[in-house]
Amino acid sequence: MNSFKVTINPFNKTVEIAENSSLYDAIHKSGIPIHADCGGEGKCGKCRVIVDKGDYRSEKNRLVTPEDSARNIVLACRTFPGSDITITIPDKTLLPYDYIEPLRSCPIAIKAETIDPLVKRFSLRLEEPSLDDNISDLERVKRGLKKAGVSGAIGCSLATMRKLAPLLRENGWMCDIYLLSADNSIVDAGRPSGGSRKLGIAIDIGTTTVATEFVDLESGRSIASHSLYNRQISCGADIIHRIVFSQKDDGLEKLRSLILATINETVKKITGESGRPREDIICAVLSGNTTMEHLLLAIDPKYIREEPYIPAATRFPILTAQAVGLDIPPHSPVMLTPSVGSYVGGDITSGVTASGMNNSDQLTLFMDIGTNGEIVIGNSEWMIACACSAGPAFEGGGIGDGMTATSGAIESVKIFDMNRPPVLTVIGGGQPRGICGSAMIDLMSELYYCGLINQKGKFNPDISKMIRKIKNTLGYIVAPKERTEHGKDIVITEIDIANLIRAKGAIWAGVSTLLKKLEIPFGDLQRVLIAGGLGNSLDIERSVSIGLLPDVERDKFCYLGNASLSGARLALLSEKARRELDEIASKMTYVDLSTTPGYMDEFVAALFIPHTDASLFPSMSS
Amino acid sequence: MDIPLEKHKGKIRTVELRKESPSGLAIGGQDCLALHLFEGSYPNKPVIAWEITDTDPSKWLGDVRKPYKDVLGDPVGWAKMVREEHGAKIICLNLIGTDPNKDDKSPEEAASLLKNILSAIDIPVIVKGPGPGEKQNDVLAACAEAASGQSCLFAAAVEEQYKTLVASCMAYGHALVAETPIDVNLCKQLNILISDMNLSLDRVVIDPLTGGLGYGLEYTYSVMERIRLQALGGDEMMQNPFICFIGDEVWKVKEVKADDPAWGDREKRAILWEIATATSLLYSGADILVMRHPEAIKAVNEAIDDLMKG
Ligand code: FES
Repeated sequence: MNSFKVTINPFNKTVEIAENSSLYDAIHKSGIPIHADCGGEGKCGKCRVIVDKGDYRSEKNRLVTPEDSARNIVLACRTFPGSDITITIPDKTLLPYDYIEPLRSCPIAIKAETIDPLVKRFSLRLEEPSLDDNISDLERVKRGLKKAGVSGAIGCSLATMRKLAPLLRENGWMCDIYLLSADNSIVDAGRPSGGSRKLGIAIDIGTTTVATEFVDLESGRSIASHSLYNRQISCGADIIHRIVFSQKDDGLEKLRSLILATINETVKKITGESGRPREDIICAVLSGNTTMEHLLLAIDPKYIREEPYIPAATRFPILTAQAVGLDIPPHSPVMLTPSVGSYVGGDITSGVTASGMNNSDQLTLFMDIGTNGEIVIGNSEWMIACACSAGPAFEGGGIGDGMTATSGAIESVKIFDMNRPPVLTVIGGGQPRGICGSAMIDLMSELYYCGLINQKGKFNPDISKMIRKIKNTLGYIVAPKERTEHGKDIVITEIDIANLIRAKGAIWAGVSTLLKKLEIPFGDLQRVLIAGGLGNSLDIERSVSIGLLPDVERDKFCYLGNASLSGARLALLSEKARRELDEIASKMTYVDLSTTPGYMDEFVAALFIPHTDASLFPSMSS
Repeated sequence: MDIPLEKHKGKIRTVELRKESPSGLAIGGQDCLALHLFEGSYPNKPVIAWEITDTDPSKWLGDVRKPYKDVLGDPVGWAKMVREEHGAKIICLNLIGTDPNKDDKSPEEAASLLKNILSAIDIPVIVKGPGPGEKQNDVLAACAEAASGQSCLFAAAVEEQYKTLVASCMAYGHALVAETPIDVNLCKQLNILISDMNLSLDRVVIDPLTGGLGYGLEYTYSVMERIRLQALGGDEMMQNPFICFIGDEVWKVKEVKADDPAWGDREKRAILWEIATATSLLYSGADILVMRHPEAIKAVNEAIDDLMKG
């Protein structure tokens, strides 16, 4: 069989692919991350590239216009080289490589005296062996641990046994022992550190972004954190497309290596910036939705998607970094937060743990607004959860100038004069290059209440000079090109707004279907907790005004930021939190919305600003 | 024995058409479910609008062309015929000829035709445009102006295109049809958008979109019932009469077109199909039924008379 060389610019990277492989395969092989919402099915039009040189065959596709073809713009996933070929990946197709400012995490302070980390350090001073006291080195260590208060059987990893004898002798029978709290097993031993502490890492594996935080296991302090786009995006934007991709040859392995690459990149970045070596890391807690956890472990997620929607596992034993593939010391224990079912994952049990709703008798609504919206309602006695596919709009996906809440993102918008650009705030304070979730909410609200869009999100073109024709649709200029980082207008179009309305409609429909099913009126809610990657400046009032959040007293709301990450951090630090994770996972009941009558009606009713039934938003009628 | 009766909070609005003429009509106005005369008041009978077209409707099946063979292509004559020979109380002028993909007749032609029809007959006229697109706006705006003050019913405003039509109807005193694709919420949303433009909802008739018998009719049926229940429950954004365009839906289905002798006489079958569809929609709350075949219309009119006797 023939093979062709594909040179990919602007990276000047060349890969070789077999005849009949697509440019999308070539890009995958090169490891360059790109947008491909549909995972190479030819349905999303995100994988556009330009062919500079070489023969190729492109399948006809309605997403490619004749003008595109004339300029050699093709869909990578529908294009097959007929010779060696050179292509350029335009900026819009590339997945941004830059780091995402971490979200403010939950305001949960954990008291130093209650800290009981996943892996605990014991500084031991042992008696030197003698002919009378001739137990083995390991037994001596265990005896030391018992004296320090450890009870029950104590295990030990092989790697530790291998290094124990020289370590003890070289250090005058003093050493630090690292004990995994879950089963009292020794995971590592080291020289007496004299106070230098080991780190744990908390990781939130989101469908769209991955956030990592280094945590000092003794003080509970967060050392540094970073977020990055999940590189699996080049295999599809949502979990359904990822699962489909996992069924291709090597698909599962590919997805696993992409998520590992993303996580390991964040770790590398933090070690570089914080000056703390990788070797200081001793354990990790990962929290993600059920599909993400499956993919990370290369467990086939196929049946998550097929009725009756059964995951392979919801609880995982504590594994080692080596087995999982994390680039931290190989023996480090790795814990994954337990999930409830196929569509309510470890990110939710983790978020709920962080929110504390499981310890409160107040009736609480917990909403995680992400690509996959999850909703939990309940209190310390009961909890019911459901999931709805909101899509990645609020995280910047599928929105022309959308981006995650990171430096350069417009995070809030206020319109003072309809004919002039609005007043913006930008994360990091520089010039903007895109719009993040919180600003999209502001925009919808401002545009609607200024009369620039109607309740369906359609522009009133005659009313403002800032509304322009953009390609085949109308758009509002959020930041004119003179004031943007890239010198191009930042706009929000009618299509973007339609996507946002669908996203908020899906979330609203989830909340209202669940509440109706439980016969709980909105007014009975005592607390409403919001989690997710919307950005730190989420404006509750405006979120209510567009119908994303229920119109209840504003003091009931609390924004938690990345609650899944906060929960993972808690699990690193607290035995109680680890127990609660398990309890929550067993206690929570899952309701499948797709089979719940009325969901579709609720969804359509919510495709309106704020809602078709205005009586649900009494405070907005004035 | 006392029959337990349902009392509703809401009431359907009355839409008046061609109120200046002695043969003007009011539709709607009931405060109970379809034909539940025992439950409330039902001031206005459902009516059948006779569909006529501005050009020879070459796509119409022979069976439904035959009764009109002398007037096809002569819309004024056609209007007079249904009025005078069949006693039509309202007609629907379908401007298929203005469709850019058909004869592409100009808005002015359509407007002058409407004027002529209005002077030839004294009953209300429903004016149906060629369908969504630039042309629809132009045609209906010209017609609305030409028929100023004659309170016609214009079809149709849709979510993607309603503003021009709403503005024309406001300016020239007409009513309009708000069309949404078989969905309770979308129906309400369009009514809200229209009333936000300050057109009184007394001038709006809902088209919930109809399927012919066997083609989703039951779906329309239940959506119409749900809209009605919500309206009678007091939702002011849904208290409007219904119009159902039956002709187009019925006369294109396989069962009406097929020449299969095993299925019996085709013409009879076709007429029955139109009757069955219309009757079902009557039960789900239709106030105006737009129909084609004289025999079907006759039969359904008799049914209406019977049903409205109480
Ligand atoms: S169209 Fe190529 S990845 Fe979606």
